[in-house]
Order: sequence, then structure tokens, then C-alpha cells
Amino acid sequence: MDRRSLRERKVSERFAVLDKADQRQAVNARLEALEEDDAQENALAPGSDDEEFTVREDSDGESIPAAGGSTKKRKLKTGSMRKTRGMVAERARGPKLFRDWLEEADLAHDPGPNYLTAAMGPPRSRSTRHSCTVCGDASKYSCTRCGSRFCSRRCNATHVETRCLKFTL
Amino acid sequence: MAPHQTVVMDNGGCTIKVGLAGDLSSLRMIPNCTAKVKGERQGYIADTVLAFKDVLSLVVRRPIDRGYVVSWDLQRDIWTRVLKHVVGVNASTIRLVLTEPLFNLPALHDTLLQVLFEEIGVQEVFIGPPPVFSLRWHAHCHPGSLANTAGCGLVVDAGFSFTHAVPVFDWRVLQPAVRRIDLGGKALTNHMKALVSYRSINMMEETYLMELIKEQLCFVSQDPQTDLAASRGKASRHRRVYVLPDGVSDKLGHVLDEAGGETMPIQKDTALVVNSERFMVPEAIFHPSGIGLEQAGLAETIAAAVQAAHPTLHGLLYSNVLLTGSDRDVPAINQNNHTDP
Repeated sequence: MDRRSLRERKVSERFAVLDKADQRQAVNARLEALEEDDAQENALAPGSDDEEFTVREDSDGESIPAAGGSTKKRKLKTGSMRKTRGMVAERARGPKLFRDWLEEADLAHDPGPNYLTAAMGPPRSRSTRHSCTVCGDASKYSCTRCGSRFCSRRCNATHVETRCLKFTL
Repeated sequence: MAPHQTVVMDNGGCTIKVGLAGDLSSLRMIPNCTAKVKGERQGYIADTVLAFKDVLSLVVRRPIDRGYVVSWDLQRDIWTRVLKHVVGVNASTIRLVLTEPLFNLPALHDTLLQVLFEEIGVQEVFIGPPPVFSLRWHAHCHPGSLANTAGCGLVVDAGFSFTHAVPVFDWRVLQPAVRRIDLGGKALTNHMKALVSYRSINMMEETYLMELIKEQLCFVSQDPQTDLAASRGKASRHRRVYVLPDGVSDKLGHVLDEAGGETMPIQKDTALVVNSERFMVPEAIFHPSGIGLEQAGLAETIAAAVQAAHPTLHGLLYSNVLLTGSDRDVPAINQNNHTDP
């Protein structure tokens, strides 16, 4: 067991450096957000009953044919749609994402070529082309806390004030 | 009743490409999504989205997540609509040729068959990987080359959800040699959206519009460092102004035509300034580490895919690299593949 100094100083939050894992987590959250459909879709999806998504045809008032290619045409009243408990639950959860399917398929134990083996590995050489996350110019420096790139003191000040770990962690 | 028509459908993450077999004039590109205006009840599906012109605050829902269909209810509705109203056929009397992403999960594949046969009710279906279809068409357009005769080539499919480098031999995908970058048009659009929202005007709710802007303004830079230096300051030659739609006379917005004598709009909040984002955004495909994705770039991916194939095929594969997918339209993406080491 290591002894910790009783006189340990508390570092101000502004200067505390994140460890690699936390930085990685922030980056992953940002990458995850890149695959999102719409920013406000999530706010829409769970439970908000009046904001629900019903698809209707505009011209002839005839609904999308129901399952099984049945020729029976239902008249769809504005906004009303027969809902089963399962549908309500699914709407609340949203459809299963690809990530969940992938977990279920359990490909780690699959020998053949599959989704996981096709993923490209890390680059052999690091990119030398960094651009400032604030102004987009070429950047030499990176933030001591979160690792984002910036190019000048002015951009760093903007970064710290508006961005640095404000929305991702 | 025997099926008498063959419908070909490429089910992409952004658009469905659909048409009758052997009839190029019937080819249509239909958005593979439903859309609705924020705060309104009525939604629009597939081809009706195209007719709908007011793009501001359009909320888009797509059945495809990371390149694979997951939202089957939505996808079934879109397919039904497309078959009935766009192609104009009765689904129960057709044969269907359909594309399926590489390495589709078995569970998703089963659901696909279930939806097709039980819910849509097609008679016969052929499901194949998109790169092979692309290469077949390429060989049809350019007959005579050795690689095309052998059904051999490397198809780079830069799509909406991801980018694949796919070696093909004898019209078969060499599965173990396929390489994928988890970065596609959708990620680029969202990346660009985040950048301009921070630097110019908040566009976070305008994904659909951002897609249009990206398609009009982005290009692949041959020398990003030089271009970056040239885009510094007010006199940047890459600076463009996109006039946002006002909802009255201009429904989609347009690029400000400064050479044609058009002046800046009076209100500042209707002019979106785009500068180095125009080439730094597509640059992410070549250097994904630039946006934090720990994967190799496109050039290295192509090389890795070829290296993973049998050595005797290397020459044939390198001689016949075919670039397809929605991102191929980014100007000059082709040249960059040659210049990038």
C-alpha cells in the first residue's frame, strides 16, 4: 500500500489533466455523435405522445398498405394509429441499434471473416495534418486538459471558455 | 402466377436506387428515409420527401444504422411505398434483385428474408453484395481489359455509412481481404455541421440542409497544407458564402455568386460562411485520425485490402480500382488516391 502525502495539494480543475482513458471516452462520444440521425430525434422519441411520428400520404388520403401486402385500405384519421403495448414500448426504446445486434451476434468467437475482421486497423503513421478545432487553421498545440488542437493563445482562450470538456463529459 | 417483372433495388443508407431490370430510364434515386417538419404532425415518406421543398428544421429518420437495416417497420413502409408508387408494380408479381451490405449479421439477414417474403410478399429474390454489381457494370462499360474479363478488381465503395475496399475475383468478393473504414457521408455531414455551427451559424438542427451544402461545396484538396495557408484571413480563396433559404422565394438556399455581382444579404444570420471546412471535412476520409478515429486512411486501406489478397492478384487488383458510392462525387477524390502515398 502506498503512502500518500498528507500535504497533497488540490489541483484546480482548470489545470487538471485528464488521463488517456477519459480523453478516449470524450473522443468516442464525439465519434458516436457523428453517426446520429438528428440531434433532436432523441428528445422526440421517448414518451412524448403528441410529437409522435405518423407517416401519411398527402394526396389521396390512402394509408400505406399494412403488413402482408393486404389490399384492404384503411382510412387513417389524422394522427390516430392503432397502438399495441409492444409498439408503445418499442417507440419508447426506439428500434434496436446495430450495436445491440452486433453484441448479440457474438462475433468474437466466430472464426471466419466477419464484420469485426474487416475493420481497418490503426494507421501506420500518425497524421501530420492537424487543424485548430476553433478556427480551422493549421495547429501546432493541443489542449493540456482534453487534447483538442488549437493554433494560438486566442483560440485556446475561446476553446477553454466555450468547449473544453463542457459537453462530452 | 409466374413473376414477370424484375426490379433491381440498391438499398443504400441515404438513398434507394431502384429501377426495372434492363431499363435504364426507369432508374430512380429515392431518399431512404421519412421526414417531418419539427413541431408538425404530418410526416413524409421516401419519394414524397423529394417533392417537399421546405428544408428548414426537417427531422429525418432513417431505417439504417451504421450501414445495416435495423428499423424494419420503417424499412418495410419505405419499400412498399417505393415498389407501389415509384416503380409502379404489384409487389406480389415481381422478382427482386436486392443489395445487402457485406458481412450482414445472420439475425438481420433472417429478418430481411422474413420481411421480403412474408410482409412485402415478393415471389423471388436475389440478394448480392453491391461491389460485385458495380464491377459488373464497369466491365460492361469497359470491355476488353484483362482484369474486367477475369471479373477481377478492387471496388472502393465510399458510401453513406462507411467506406469499404473490396477485392473481387471471378465475380466473387474475397471476404477475408475486405477492409472497412467506419466513416462515410453521414459522419462527414455531421462533422461539417458541428464545425460550421461553432464557427459561423448554428446549423445543428439542419442536417438535411447541411447535406445539400456539403454536396455543393466540398472538394478533396490535392495539398491540404497549402490550401490551409491560402484559406487564412479575409482574402481566402476558398471562402464561400451560402445564402440560407428564406422559406419564401428561395426554398433550398444557394451559394452566393460574388463573381456574378450578387451582394451579401443584409441580415448576417442568413449567410453561412464556409472556408477551410470545404476540404478539411473530406480530408477525414484520408486521415481519420484527424477527427479522433483510430483507423488508417483510404489510401492505406486500399493497399491493405490488396495485400491481403493472393499475391498473384495484386497486379490485376491495382490495375482495376473502381470507385463507387455516393462520396465518389466529391470532386477530385480520384486524383488524391493516386497522389497520396
